[in-house]
Amino acid sequence: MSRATPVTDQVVRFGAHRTTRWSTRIEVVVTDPAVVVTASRLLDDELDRVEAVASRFRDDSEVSRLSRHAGTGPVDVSPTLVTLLEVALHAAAVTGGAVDPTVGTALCRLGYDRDFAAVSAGVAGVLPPAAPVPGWRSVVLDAEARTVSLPAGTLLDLGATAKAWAADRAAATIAGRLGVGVLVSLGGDLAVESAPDGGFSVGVADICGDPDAPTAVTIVSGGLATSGIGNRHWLLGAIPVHHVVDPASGLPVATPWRTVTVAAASSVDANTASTAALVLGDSAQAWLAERNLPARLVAHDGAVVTVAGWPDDPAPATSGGGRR
Amino acid sequence: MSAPRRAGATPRIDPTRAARLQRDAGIERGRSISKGAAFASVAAVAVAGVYLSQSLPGHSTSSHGTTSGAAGAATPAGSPAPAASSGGGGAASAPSAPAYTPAPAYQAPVVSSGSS
Repeated sequence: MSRATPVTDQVVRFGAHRTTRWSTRIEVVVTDPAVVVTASRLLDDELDRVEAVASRFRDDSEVSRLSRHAGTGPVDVSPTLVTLLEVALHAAAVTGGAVDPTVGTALCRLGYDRDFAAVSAGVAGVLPPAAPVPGWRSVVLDAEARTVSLPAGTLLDLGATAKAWAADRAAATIAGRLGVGVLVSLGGDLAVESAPDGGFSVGVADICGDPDAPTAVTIVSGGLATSGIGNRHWLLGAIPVHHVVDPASGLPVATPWRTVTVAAASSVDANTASTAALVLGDSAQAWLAERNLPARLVAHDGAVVTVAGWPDDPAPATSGGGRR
Repeated sequence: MSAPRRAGATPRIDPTRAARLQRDAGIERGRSISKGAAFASVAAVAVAGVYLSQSLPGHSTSSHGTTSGAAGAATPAGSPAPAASSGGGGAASAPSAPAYTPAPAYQAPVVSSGSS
């Protein structure tokens, strides 16, 4: 297979809006350029709603309020937080706890207690001793009564699934209300609804915003997510750390993978699987293959492994960068 | 109290008595239905109590189908169902595979990279 020839930007034929939020790149592409402003507004509304509920960095968010009441018994929460927590707990259950929403306090101990833009330059401190996170089973959610109980000292981090859920939700809302095909991309988490014939072309890159993506695939429906340790990393004192925490140690996971990209039935499912793959490490390939989840895994040396029908990368123009 | 009926005599129907009997039978039927309903309610509450008491931490204590958010819209298709109420996570379904296999593309306007 030969390397794809770059063609005039697909978004010229469609309509696209790009911005930066949550220290990441946000994009919405619609098949009718006339509605791109409205689509962008609908996406903003969705992100506003999720941020007000799930941001660890806002004192007035529900997640922050819940943390302040951790250890005091059931706390009333909104329907949106119930849904986000159900999604997060489901992700934890289906990954055997590899994707755990109770890693918030561990991330704070690593210095990631504010927006990433303020962390990326490095933070003072030393690597804390290893200690398991409270664990998703310690979260008691009563969806009917809309209450949540957390053990003392627990801070939820719903980032792994909330962003993907927002992408799914925004894509469904935009397609439903505006009657167009849509792709929503929230920093690596993509959701597609009512795609045009042939689907949307999506480049897959290790570096956020890299225009020269090494490979590109067509997404027809559902979701695509890329998780990696190469973008959100910083120095804690003199120690390099990143944002994917191993629930067993509360420390950045030691993974053989630099990035993992997964296609699934939804962005939430894709993100759940790509994040889990980083944590699962060497067993990730088998785990993904058993679930028939097409995936592309990139090792630290750049070697690429594909799983469950993910197309091979185009042959490199020059030799080198072999496959595993 | 009614008088014994003589053999061969045509039964004489007292309209007042018949109405009274009919009323009493209706009341009795009503009592039976009330008792049945009360028993069913107690049984339902007991079953719900057992179910809730067996729910494990980390799981929702109610079982929903597709969930809805603040705006009441349905969760997008393909999103996972809420947590199952069984322990160990073994009963939860895996992330769902896509309905297609990604194919190579020949243009790449949108990039998925590892910031999540």
